[in-house]
Amino acid sequence: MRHPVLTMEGISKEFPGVKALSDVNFELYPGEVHALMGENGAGKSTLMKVLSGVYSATQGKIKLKGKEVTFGNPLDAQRQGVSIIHQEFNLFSNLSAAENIFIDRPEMTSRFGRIQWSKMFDEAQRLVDSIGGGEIDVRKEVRHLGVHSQQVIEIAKALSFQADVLIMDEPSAALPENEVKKMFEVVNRLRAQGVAIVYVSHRMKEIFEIADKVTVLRDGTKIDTRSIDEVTEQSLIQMMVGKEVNQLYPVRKQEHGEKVVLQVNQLSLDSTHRISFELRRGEILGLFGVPGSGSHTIAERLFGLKRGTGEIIINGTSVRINSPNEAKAKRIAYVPPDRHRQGIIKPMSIRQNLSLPILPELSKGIVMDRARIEQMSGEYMEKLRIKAPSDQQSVDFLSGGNQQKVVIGKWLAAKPEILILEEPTRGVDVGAKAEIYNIIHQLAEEGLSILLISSEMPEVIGLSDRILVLYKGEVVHEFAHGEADQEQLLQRASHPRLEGGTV
Amino acid sequence: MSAWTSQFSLKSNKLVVQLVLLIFILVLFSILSPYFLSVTNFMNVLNQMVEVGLIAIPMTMIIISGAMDLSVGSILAFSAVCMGVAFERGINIWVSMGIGLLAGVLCGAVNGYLIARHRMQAIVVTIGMLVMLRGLVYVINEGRPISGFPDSFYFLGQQYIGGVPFNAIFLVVMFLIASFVMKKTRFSTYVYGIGNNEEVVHYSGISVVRIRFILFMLSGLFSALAGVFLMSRLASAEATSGTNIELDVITATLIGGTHIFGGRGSLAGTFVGLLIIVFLRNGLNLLGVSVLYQAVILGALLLLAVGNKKFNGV
Repeated sequence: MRHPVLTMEGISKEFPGVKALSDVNFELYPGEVHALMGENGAGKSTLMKVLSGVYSATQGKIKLKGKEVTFGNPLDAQRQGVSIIHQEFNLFSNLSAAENIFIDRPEMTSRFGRIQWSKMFDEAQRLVDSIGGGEIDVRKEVRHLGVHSQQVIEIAKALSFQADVLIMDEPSAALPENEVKKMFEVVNRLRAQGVAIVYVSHRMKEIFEIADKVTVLRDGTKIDTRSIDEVTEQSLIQMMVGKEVNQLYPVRKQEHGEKVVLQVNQLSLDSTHRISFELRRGEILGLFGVPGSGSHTIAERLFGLKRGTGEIIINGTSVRINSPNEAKAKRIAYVPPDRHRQGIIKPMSIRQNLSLPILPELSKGIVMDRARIEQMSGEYMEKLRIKAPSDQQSVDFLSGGNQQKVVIGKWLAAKPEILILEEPTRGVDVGAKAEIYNIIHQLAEEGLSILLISSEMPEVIGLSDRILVLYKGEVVHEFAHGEADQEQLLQRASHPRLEGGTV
Repeated sequence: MSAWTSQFSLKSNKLVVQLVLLIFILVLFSILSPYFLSVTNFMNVLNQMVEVGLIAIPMTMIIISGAMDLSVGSILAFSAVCMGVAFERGINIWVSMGIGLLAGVLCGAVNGYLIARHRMQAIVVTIGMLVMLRGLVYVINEGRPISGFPDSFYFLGQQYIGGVPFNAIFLVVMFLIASFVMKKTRFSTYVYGIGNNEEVVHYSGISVVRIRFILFMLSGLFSALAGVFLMSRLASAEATSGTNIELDVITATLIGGTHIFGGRGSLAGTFVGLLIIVFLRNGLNLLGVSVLYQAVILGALLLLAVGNKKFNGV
């Protein structure tokens, strides 16, 4: 019988007025990949913060290799063998990879504080090689490295502390689809080396591909730990949500209209690529492609964020769109991929965020009409079921799902005819996902034409009436409703020339 | 969590510290100096705070929007000298005033064009304008003061109505109007929005360029207005007018609780901040404290006011 490298016993963590964790037990064995799952707010990140020394637990014990330990801070935890890799990398982009790995480490300096460069470079290269990053030049500045390489550097940094336990928080979130495989290879190497890995992720597919065990948290308590063979996607969701979510994607009740609402002719994406397609009334058109395929640029062009050539025809009239303002006037709305940067103003209230795009319509002259704003915001809070004590609440305190609903809501309030959704459920928990899918579905049934751009294949397949697969600025395939499965979709998106013709 | 239920406001409604400080200053100097607590002295102080106060209005808005305008002092002098030169050429005084104000708006437009349209750094652009316009002022009138305006013009800066200086009344009215604008109009939402997250405002189909442009034009206009009032009060236009006024303006704004990185602040706060610095100056003057020490005290006060917020995590 192996001994666990790490045991957490009866961990509770209280914040003023809220119990984030209650009596959680967690065991981790060397050489295992242990997935940690749960909806947002379930306590995953709190548990990991306790483990990595960011928080100290209100109650409970942590044992590392059989000895009870306390971590005063993250550096302390790292020194004792527990490292965490955050979703957002903590790298200095203007320093070399090696410097990032060994930043502020006395063992890399001579007695008088001079950095021993050659030792540092050699050591860094050795570490990076050991996890399969041989192609990375550790002398290169981090900003010249790709996302995957940056992640390798983060892992190497953690390993340089002789990590026994490595926590990976949503490691695939920042990676393009094709680099996730490479990340898995790194994880597999680590597993073979006997490192225990806590893998925090929302993505079901990955969990089944990489994890040995899975622990599910809900509302601050542990639901269960199971071997990965014992669970299915459905049963995991059930454990996370606490109720049965049998239908994540709603079924289409009626066919979409025939009328072409948006027609795009030879729209330029860059200097060489042009694209054409049409969108019908009430249709959900999915655009799928690996990063660099141009789907994001299509959104930017249609919303006036980027200029170029080509023809955009809305309801039969050719229009020019040179700014988001003009797009809005043409009744085009855009829910951008990164809500924190582009979607919500965090310190402002739900009400202010919801009313932002349509303030001119909600004003008398230049003075805002408080009553109408209140009424509008109440209406959309209810329609989208945004959960908050009041619409005066700052959006900063909302969960990811509710924040995303605010972004969708502010554009619905603008009564668009064409809605561009890009990554509409990124960083949103399963429960809210289902709700957002329902909303999207309902909007289409009501006659809104939707352009769905997403890197989540199940989402594109589950929601779209039609899917265009893009590759390097070209439409390489079109799937009708129900035609595509994940494998085909990914194949078309990554190796367009394998078989079949283009559209 | 208490944060859940507590409402969050962008307007710093915690003026308590500032008000206590103001009262403390008023009481302290009333005790220390026999001349401080008198109507004449108070009206004098009000009369002298108008230029800083006028510029502080757009400055507060600009800082809330996450930018900065350091060129206000030079714009003030430039507009004043433009007006003076126009008057010397025999143009009617009120028409000359219009020319002066127009000059200010134009300077603001140049700032706005470079900052909003070309996305240049506000601090860099306005430092450039600060230096350039000050030079231009010396070029235009060769450094000599311009005076000899008609008596009717002195009404603006020297006349008292019911014992209260006209310019102070003007300032208060301006503050009230601006306060209304920054509370009730959609312009205010845009300004706070840009200060908190410019990209979201852009992605919401609102022209950030236009809002920024308006802000810097306003700043130019109010700086010119301050120049006009200063000329009227001192009865001359000088090349050195308004030197370092931006420091007073920014100090008042920051003491008033406006966040230096934007997103938060209020005109009410700025007004209190303004009163704090003018009464402090006045009191110290009456006590015969040297100007050099006054600077030390004012600087320390700023550190205290801003630091206090940091420590309280506001």
